[in-house]
Amino acid sequence: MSTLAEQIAADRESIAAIPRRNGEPVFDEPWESRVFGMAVGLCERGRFAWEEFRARLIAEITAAEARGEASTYYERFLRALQGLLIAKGICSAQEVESYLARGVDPGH
Amino acid sequence: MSEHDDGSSHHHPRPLSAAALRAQAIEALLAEKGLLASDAIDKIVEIYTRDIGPLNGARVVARAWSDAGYKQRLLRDGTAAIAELGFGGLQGEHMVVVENTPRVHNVVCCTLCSCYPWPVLGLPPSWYKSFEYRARIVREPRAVLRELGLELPATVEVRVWDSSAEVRYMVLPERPPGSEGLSEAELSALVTRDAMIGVARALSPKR
Repeated sequence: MSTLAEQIAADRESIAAIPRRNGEPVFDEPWESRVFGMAVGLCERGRFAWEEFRARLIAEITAAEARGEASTYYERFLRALQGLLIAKGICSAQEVESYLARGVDPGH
Repeated sequence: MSEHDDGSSHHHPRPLSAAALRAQAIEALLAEKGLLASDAIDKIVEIYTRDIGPLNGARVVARAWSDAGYKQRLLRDGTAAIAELGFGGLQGEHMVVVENTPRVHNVVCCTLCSCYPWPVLGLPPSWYKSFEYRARIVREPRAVLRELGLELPATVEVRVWDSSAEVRYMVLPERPPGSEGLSEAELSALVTRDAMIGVARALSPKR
């Protein structure tokens, strides 16, 4: 197991900890596993440090809770990921919106 | 849009949520920029869902390795000893824990369906439910174990335990050499799902 996996596995109690059942990551929808894989993959490829992502995730969770928003863990995770991609200059908000408008499915 | 030749196809029986569409857009964007391919994401998800957990069973094993009294209770009454650590949800199934030794190797299956003690072992691996595993592990356990990467000396007796709706089995793997002095938390990291099914040994400590 890589160091990153150990780091993620060790985070069991904090609000940023990934949802798990009996210790294993659980994904309610396929897209949740995709965004998890994207965050881990980009971190493994040196695009950002896990701590940077985790700080954004905690900020998203805290803000959503403060607003009393009923969003799920992975909806907040996705927002944190998009925010970090833009902050790092990996893509722009406009690019994300234009891909959304094109409705591309990478699986097809 | 560039072509993806990884052959993956995802089926979406329901209309996609806004989050799912956004996730897809970002995935496509990352792939097109050459930052992260879709098949790399597949691989990561596969590795993480396999390597993280199942914690409950691993904690039971680590406790048994560290505490001889607990191990005795575990082998005598698995259900009660597992409940001692606060892991319930067994829904009346009786847990039997079988111990691997230098002379006996245990392996668990379910020939009838796919009974599996998920409260301790988490999600069953896909091969566990396969007809081939269910059929062959009883007939030729050594060959199946070899194919799964576990070579056992001829002197080791192999016992196959067939789970049912009433009785679920879990293997207590042998404590790996070199793990002396490790804490329970460190020990639990050496216990994989495959080791508790009996198709692998516990991991060796690094160092």
